[in-house]
Amino acid sequence: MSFLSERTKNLGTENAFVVTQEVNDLQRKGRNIISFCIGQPDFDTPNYIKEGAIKAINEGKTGYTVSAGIPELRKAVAKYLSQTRRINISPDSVVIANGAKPFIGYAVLSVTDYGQKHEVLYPNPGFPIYSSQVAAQGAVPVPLNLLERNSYSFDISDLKRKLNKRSRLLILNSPHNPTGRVLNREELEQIAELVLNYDDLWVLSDEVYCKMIHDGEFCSIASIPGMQEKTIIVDGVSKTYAMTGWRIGFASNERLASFFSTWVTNTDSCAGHPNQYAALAALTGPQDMSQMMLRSYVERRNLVFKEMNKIKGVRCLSPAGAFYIWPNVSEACKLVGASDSEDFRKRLLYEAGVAVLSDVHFGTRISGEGEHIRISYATSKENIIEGARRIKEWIEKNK
Amino acid sequence: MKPPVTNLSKRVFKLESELAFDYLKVAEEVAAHGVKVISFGIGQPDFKTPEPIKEAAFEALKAGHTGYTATPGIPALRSAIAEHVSSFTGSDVKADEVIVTTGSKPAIYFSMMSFVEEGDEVVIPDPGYPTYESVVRYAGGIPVFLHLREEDDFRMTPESVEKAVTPKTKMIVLNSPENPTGGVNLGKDVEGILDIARRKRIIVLTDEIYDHYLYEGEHVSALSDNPDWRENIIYVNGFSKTYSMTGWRLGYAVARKEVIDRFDLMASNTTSCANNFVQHAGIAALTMPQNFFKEILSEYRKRRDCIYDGLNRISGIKVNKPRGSFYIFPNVEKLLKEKGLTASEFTMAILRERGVVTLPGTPAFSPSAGKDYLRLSYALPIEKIEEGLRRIGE
Repeated sequence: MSFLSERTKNLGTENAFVVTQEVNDLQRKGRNIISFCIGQPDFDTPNYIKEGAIKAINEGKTGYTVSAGIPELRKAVAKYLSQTRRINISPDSVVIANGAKPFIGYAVLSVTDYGQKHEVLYPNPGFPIYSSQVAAQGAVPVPLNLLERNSYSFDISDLKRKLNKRSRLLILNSPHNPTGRVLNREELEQIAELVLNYDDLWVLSDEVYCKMIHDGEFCSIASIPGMQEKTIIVDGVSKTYAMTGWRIGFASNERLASFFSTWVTNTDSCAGHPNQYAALAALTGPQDMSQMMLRSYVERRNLVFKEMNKIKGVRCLSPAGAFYIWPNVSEACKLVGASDSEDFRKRLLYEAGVAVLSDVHFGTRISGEGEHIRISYATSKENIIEGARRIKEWIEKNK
Repeated sequence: MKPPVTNLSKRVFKLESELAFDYLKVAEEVAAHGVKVISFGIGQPDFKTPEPIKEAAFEALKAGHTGYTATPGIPALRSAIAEHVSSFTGSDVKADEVIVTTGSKPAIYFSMMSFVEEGDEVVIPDPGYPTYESVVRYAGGIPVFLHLREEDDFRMTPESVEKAVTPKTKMIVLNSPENPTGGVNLGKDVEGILDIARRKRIIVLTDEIYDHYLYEGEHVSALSDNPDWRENIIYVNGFSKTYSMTGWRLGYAVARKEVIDRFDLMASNTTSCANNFVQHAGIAALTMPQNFFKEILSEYRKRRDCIYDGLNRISGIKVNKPRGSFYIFPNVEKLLKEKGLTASEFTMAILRERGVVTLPGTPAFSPSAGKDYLRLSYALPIEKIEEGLRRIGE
């Protein structure tokens, strides 16, 4: 059984999970590790949401659901999306899946064909599954470089240059993993203006961090006139309600919903039945727990920003959203003699007991951009302070 | 603003839906009009998820098991599955040869996507579970339909497999007990097919999700008496049918470690992991006393006998007694001829007019072996089976 398909060989991974495994192994061996690597809230799921699942289980709601999801949840999601995006979304346009991630693949599959040179543009650095899915599904990945000097915003002229008649999908992610950049309405209008020139171009707007805005306001490109039809909005309950392990995400697009539903039938049948009721409870129940959690990220952002910038050789911009900070560690690498960010990351883990991810986990290197690491600050203030202290000491000791 | 019109991929149209889910949708519409729908449609057990499993889920929620897990599953569940499969099939599966998935369907999807390439042939049972065909086509492969015959009690025989394989065959899909026919492969069938696969270096994807629903004889797994299983077997199973956990979405695949590592990568590209608290429930399922199923099996045997007798009494229908799963696959050729309907038209008509869900033996327009048949799932109480049969009879 030596044969593996080419497309499988093309598959990338999400190193957050790989490094988490590494961290778990070290912890099992008794090492004390401060982990900044995985993007999940450190909160437990609020009780009223758990109650939603428990009630569903007790009522015997444990069988299959229709692939698109239970009608109540689709309705609640439509309402939530309509309110938060200030557009009108119908429940029929909404599909529920096992997390938001499957929609990346479903979207690429639904609008590109294998080996037809269909191009998909995506942010670089960016969530690694974008490029992995594009390549695995036989489309052409076209990275849009986000540069530090532009505060990691889109370079509109770069986007303009890269769009052509083979462009099929533009992936946006705001607030952005890993830089924390938030696109404002004006920037989205500029992007929309270009996109609307191309009939065959869709937008996948990954908005899973939409509730985690520390500065400014969230805006969806779907709310720009003319863009709703072309935009696949992807969101979920994982980040907003501390429900990563529940695997409930959703997407909305009027035209693609039925195809997404068929993809769900072919891959997962449906999302978890009790889990869908939990998500329903999350969206329709009291929002104060969620707001409390979301507020805490602002304080943590302030703390991590302050602490990281105190470290010699480290400089970072203040992220406006999500829960990631993206320090430039080029100088720090030089100080400790690390050959690059990945070498720096490994040594930080094994020598200082601090787990982070490096820029090689988020796309292809951009020349002149230097070395970066990603720190997820979805962790306690104590961990942030202790982690920063360890990094600082380790650099001091090794320079 | 003009809407996009030209830009859907071609491949999206290669995908087939699963009829059971389509009919579920129509049934909900019919029910919304106040009709008491009796469903022989979707394949899910009607008994409740056993209490210890629910309790374990509640415990896990209380304990805060609500975050991501490692992509291939929590170690304790992987070990429990390895032990369970080993003891059930008499094999020697290790924890790192197991990946936990959100139901068994992703395991099928990962298997095909990992091995099947443009032009590769995959032998699949026909009539068979529609996802096999759909995913093979989507992967760019060519489904080779292996006709399961009524006169063989819908077994997959080595003779028919021998005829179906060619130098291009990449994979053979086994599904026993079978959906939708209830056919069960005998020991000699499994042995013969594995022998062919080994000789010709073909992967065997064995979907044994109905392994506990066996009314006569013993289940023969492709892992049983097969010390070389790591060579070419991918074993798929799940919690849905045995523990009545369809809506919990928990399944798994077993294969040699290198293959599981690939599946891990595919899972990290799609679902990240299976539900955390549900995985804890899964451990409880495998470690609780398993004798609860005896009672269920004897109830399902009664239902099988009831639906078998009932269907054979309806004029124009004839059917063999299925030995496994909870499906029955009656031959309705005569009936369809009398009514001048196709199987899809017939099933849609009894759903809309009589509120009874049955499925056509094969998707519409497909030239498949099941076109003169219906599929009925009898995972419902005897009174309902009788009432449903009465409505069909009328």
